[in-house]
Amino acid sequence: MKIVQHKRPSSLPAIVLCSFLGATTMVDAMADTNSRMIITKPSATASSGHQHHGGHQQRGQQEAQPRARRRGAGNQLMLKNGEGAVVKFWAPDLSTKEVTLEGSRFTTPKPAVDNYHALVAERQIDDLKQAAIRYAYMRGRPSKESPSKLAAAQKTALEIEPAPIPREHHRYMANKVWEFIVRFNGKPLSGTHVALETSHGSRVDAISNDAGLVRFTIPDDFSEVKPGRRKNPAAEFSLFTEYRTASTHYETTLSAAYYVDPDHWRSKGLGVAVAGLGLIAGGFIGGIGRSNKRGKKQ
Amino acid sequence: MNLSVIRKLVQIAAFGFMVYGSGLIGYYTVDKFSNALPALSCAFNHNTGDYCTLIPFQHQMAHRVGETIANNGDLLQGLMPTLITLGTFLILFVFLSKAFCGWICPLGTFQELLSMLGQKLGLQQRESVDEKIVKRTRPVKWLVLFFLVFFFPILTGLGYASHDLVDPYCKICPSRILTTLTNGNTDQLVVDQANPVTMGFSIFGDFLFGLMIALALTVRQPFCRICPMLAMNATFRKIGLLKLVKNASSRCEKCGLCAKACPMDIREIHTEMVKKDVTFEDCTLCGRCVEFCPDENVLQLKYATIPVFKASPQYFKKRKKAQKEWEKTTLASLKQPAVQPEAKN
Repeated sequence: MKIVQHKRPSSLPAIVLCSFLGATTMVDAMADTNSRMIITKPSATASSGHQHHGGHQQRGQQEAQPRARRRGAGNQLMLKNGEGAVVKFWAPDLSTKEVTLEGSRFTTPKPAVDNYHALVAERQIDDLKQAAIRYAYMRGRPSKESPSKLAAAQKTALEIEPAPIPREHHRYMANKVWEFIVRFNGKPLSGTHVALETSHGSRVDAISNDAGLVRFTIPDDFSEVKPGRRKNPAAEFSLFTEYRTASTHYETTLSAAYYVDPDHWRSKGLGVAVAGLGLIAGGFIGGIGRSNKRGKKQ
Repeated sequence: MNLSVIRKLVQIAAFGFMVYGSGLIGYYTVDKFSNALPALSCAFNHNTGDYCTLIPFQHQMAHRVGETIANNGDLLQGLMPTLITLGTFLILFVFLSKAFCGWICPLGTFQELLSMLGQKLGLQQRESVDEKIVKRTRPVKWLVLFFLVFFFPILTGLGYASHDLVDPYCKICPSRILTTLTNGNTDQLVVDQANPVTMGFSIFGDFLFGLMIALALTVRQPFCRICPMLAMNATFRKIGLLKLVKNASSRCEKCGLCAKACPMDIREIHTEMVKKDVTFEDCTLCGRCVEFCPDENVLQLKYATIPVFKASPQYFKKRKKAQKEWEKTTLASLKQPAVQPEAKN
């Protein structure tokens, strides 16, 4: 398995490295990354807390609403650099609905069922076909569908599939390893260069292996980390890759929110030490019990 | 093969499924499997096959019930998710009753394995805990259930408590640490220094985990005695189809082997002479008391009205012999030199 991952301080070394590694396709590192089509939250950073159901959010105006009233509401999202694109809303059963863009913003339709839905934006400019995907958890009656079905479905020609999408009680987090599969027309694409960029300005590059798999550690790039998960708003990351055929140039992005690594305010060493104290205390209590019993017997 | 061996095999299979099951049933399927298991299988474990009912209860108390009351919302709508979770829990519970504790719970299995290890290490497994200690300990599980699963989460939803008290029981549950550690994940064995509340709970949780491990080497099922799931299951024990039934005989008064065999030290199984249903609040339906009852049909495990396992003198003799054989082999006994056979003349 050939997976390469490295920090990329500037674009030129990446070009050299990718050429050296013999990648069959390569992100045009000199391209203006600001022109990529990305589905993102309306603000620069996502709201804090869980990105999906059962979430904890900072107590504020939104939290003051009864949760039951928020159930079934659509999500507010934004399509960056997506003029002229068509946005489709994919339900867990793979049915689709077109979403109306209001400028660069749009509201997802009210979901009929719960679980992950996909937002897929596509547009074509001459020989360039661009796509952007984002998965969003929505509440409703039970969908009875696995998110793996939605993730695995071919929604556009060139696609980055999360493998898997974090399920309930889990979320994308900095400093942790996450896997994705690059597919072209539904088939894994090997040797493809994928770039991960964050809203905090970090960039990591990787090349897909024979199974189309790329593995990233999301950079721990939150500048001001405060102790406590809810005190640190989520940031956004996007994955970008491109692929050229004889007649067409394909580009695709996958975006999601990610959260600060809680190890900033958690100590594993202290945890082990405290558990050790518990062990000693337990051994002591057990020992007293044994000696009392011996005493009674005598 | 005796009932204890069969139970161990079921426990180990259940442990594998609950701790590593998502590899078998699919990463997402667990979210839809039940989410209301009457056993401590933890949602913090990425690979769990299903997870316990206490986590949705805590979240629903905070986010649905508490918040609905705080906002003068429709209480029935706020209670609906809790009712759905409770309904799912009850469907499962009716099917297997308190046997979820004695046959399925990964934390119960872990403690039993430690107990076996303690016995083999010669750490002198205490047959029974002092009666006074047992009686004093019994109310703790109800307090843990009331305060940590319902009260503090509702207070949080109402806005009177820190948001870190949304899932206070999970913060101290040893199953959270155990099931993540068994998957090579050390993220839960930590001291969380975000604020005094998280720090206090994480220190208590870590300490409890260590304490439970050490105690389990010498005392049978130490954490089960204060487990809120035991209290939860005790609340609904009358509707479970599996029951422990006693047809007391005059010999019961002098015997008491059932109470000695009980890993939860329920002496009432021995002393109760009137009631037929002896599925007491601490009973985990492990069936050891039935195994060690020497009198025909005095103790029985019944599924609805059908006896599935009955006490019998023949079984008792075999079981007692097997137990003696099991207890004879310890690490200390292996170290002793074998007795030399006498030389033939």
